[in-house]
Amino acid sequence: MGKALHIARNTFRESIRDKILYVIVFFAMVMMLASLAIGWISMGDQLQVVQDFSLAVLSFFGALMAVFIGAGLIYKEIDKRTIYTIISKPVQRWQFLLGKYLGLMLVLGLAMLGMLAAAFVFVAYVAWTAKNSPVADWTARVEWGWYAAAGLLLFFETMVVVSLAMLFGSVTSPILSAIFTFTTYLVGQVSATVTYTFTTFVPAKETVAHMTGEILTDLTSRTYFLLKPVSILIYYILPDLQHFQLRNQVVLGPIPTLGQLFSAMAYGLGYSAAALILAMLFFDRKRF
Amino acid sequence: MTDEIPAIRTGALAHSYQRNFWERKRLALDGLNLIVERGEIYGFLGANGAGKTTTIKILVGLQTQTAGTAEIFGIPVADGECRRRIGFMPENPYFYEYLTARESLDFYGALCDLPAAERRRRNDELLGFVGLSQAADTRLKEFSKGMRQRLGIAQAIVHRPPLVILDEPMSGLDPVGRRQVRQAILDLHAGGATIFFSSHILSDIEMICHRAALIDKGKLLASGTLEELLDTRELEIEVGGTGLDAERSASVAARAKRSLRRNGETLLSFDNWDAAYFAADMFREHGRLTLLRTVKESLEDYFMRSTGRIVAETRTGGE
Repeated sequence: MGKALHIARNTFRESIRDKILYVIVFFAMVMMLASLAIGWISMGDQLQVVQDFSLAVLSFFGALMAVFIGAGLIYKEIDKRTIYTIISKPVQRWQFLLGKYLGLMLVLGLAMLGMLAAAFVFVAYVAWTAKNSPVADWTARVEWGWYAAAGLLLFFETMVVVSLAMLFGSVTSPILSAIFTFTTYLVGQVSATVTYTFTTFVPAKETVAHMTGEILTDLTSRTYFLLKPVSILIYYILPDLQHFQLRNQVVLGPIPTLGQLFSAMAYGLGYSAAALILAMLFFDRKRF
Repeated sequence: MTDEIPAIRTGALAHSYQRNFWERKRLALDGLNLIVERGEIYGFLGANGAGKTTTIKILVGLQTQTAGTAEIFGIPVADGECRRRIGFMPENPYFYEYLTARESLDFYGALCDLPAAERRRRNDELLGFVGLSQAADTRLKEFSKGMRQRLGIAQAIVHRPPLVILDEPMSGLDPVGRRQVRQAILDLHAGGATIFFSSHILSDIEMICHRAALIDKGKLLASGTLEELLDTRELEIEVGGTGLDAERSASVAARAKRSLRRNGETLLSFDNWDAAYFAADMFREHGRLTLLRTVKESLEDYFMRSTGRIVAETRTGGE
């Protein structure tokens, strides 16, 4: 573990110099500022909009950083041959991969902390103006603790995305890895909803046939019913990133429970660990 | 020495690879048998693409053989434990550019389980050993190729390994850099390490190696001491001199294999002593004898002979 920490420290030094990090953080800040403008035109719901939008920005730009830096992290070591002097030392390959992961998470953690701090300032400003405007909205209040918890969960979401970036990065090129990781991020945002729709609202074949008066052609009905198991399969393989989205509850209520928070954290840790172990298995077979 | 477990032993080592899925497998190594005894400086000789780097990558754990065995001090290379006994410098070593030389060595020392206090001592010692003390706190992006190469040697020996493997350590260096690296290799050997290094620069191997192996197209062509490898017979006799008139010059040139005029001096190569003595006497009596020496096979001649490559007749001048 000590060697992994040395590699993590080195990765931190490397990633903190990556210009793309600062570009993404800059655009995240611009987007958060834009949320103020969106809030102004949202007819009195400005505080809700700013809270909701800032957390969405944190999630999206956290994922972007994970994709852009994480996907090329291993490839860069191989391409620049810096890996030669490390793997030929008494270092296990899993230690190398874990070190790279921890180092990058430290950088992303700091970047997200910075973005969350900026979001706090924006939200506090909007909450203050709401109470101090001529038409004071005394109902305007922010659940600060839960707002911070929602931000923390997004760090866990980024942990999952980085672990996937490293998994894909250990088997494919950086470009493919970035595409796969980002696609997984997008699918992960909706997979729970899609699966829920298919498992809850799609009635049995016979019922559909009955309801529609046998209008469905055989082909349509087969496609229709095939989607259900496929969506379930995707749900269990790809991460369910909706676990990490507390923003609707934080903004609109009902307030989430601590159990929900901790189970989401446990899910994030478990999924990341599984993806990293798989990445280590692939990386162990890699030849340079 | 021979009853000890050798530093490196490979048995029928083979490696094949495919560039693309649809392409046929190519053989990079074909049944390589190699033994490097402890305490040797061993040169691994071969043209570009002969299989030198592949062999080295297998020995240090960057590649896996597709067949055969490879052991370091009797430990199979698949066992990570053997990497504690190896110091490795890759060809054109690459480092993290944002680190200084000292930080870089500290990082590698930490990977080799050296405690922080020992790392600090060792870093100073190593920077002095490779002549980089003055540049200890300079970022590596400002380092020249020669400085990187020397840092490459320092990182390889940070954990005092008994076996040091260097892949093309003199590649791309100027004469000063080459001399410094050669000296570092000799110093390491004097400190008790076994050195195994690959090169296609024949003079480097000729200068410092006890034994050498020649590899071509993945196959071992020969291995042994330089005396064993090279033809020790005198191949030709070279005679040089000045001051002969045209008639005598033509007379000695007629007996020579080759002749060359350079800066007013005539250089002649003979394949028998009678003709050489005749030319030498001519120069002594009617001009000035400047050179009389025998030429034996060089490693370059041997390399060309063994690999079947055509020798460029560089010595031939205008006759």
